[in-house]
Amino acid sequence: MNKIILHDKKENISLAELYERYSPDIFKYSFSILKNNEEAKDAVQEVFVRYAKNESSFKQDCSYKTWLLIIARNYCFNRIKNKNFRNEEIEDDVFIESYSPDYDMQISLKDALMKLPEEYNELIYLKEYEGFSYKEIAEITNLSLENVKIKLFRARQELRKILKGDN
Amino acid sequence: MKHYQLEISQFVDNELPADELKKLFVHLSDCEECRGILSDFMGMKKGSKAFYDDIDVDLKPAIKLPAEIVPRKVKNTYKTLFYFSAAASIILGLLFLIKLSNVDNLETQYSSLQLKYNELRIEHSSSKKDDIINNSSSKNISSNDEKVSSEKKHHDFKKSDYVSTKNLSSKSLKENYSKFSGKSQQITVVQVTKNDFLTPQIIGN
Repeated sequence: MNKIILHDKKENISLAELYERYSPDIFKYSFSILKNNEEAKDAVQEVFVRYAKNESSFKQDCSYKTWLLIIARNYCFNRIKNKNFRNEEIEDDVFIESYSPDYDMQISLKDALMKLPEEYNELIYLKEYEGFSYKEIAEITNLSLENVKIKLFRARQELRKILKGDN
Repeated sequence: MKHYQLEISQFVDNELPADELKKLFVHLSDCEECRGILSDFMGMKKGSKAFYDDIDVDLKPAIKLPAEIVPRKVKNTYKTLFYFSAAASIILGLLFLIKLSNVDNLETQYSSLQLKYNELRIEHSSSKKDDIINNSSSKNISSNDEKVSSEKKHHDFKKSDYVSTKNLSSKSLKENYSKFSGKSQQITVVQVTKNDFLTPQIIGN
């Protein structure tokens, strides 16, 4: 078996550990773009395969997570571009039963997020869930800081419209 | 009234600069619409986080992943490239020097040959003058054939660019020219062209 070589100046992480640590986030990020459970699962596998193949191109000028998210982003948007890719209905098993819709907005937020264009949805994910700064989001999405700021604002406006039934 | 929707979005993201923060608070105290937007944005933030937090899937890797860590070999791409280019430049420099020395040698040979050629021409012309003087005085040479032959050979000699002196001493050349001036039938002209002056070819009889 070929050894996957991983190295970091600060820390050494094996591929298995890397998978365990970041695969849920990669899945969620992929899901925010692809909006499909199975597709997102495939994306996770593909991201780590690509990472292992192109490990030498990882310059370590960003974190492992950022690098993996960039790979995931490229994969997901290429997948969307693919003509064969069709959005299927979102499977409800993605959400665990303990999901508690005690807050009114949450009830429809799932649908609202799924209606949101993928470029907005990914920004919402990166900001709200990952808690990345504008700078980090710009690094992952290859957008300017100003663009990140504006697009996040538009994403929120769009989401608000959907939630209010204006869309 | 100007609304602060963009600033509200930045505020929700904790990315609003401090100087704008004060303006926003002043505005929010007077604007109900913006307060509503702020409330919605905050709600969406909370809801979105909860949405992604609640996603739970079983993600098993498709293949068994290696757990060991192997230190990565430091790639010496730039180092190798540097040494390679240095070696290449040294080789090229040497080749250039060799070429340059060859050119110098050729130039030296060329100039020495030119000098000898001029010497021989002077000798040839002086011997021809003597011939004419001798012939006119003795009035013995009247054969047109000989004159034509002599001129022809002279013309051939002129046509040749250089005369090789590598294998012939000036003495032997002198002898040849004295023969040429006396007996046109036995002339031996050493004719060497510009391109092959290092390998002289003897033409004529």
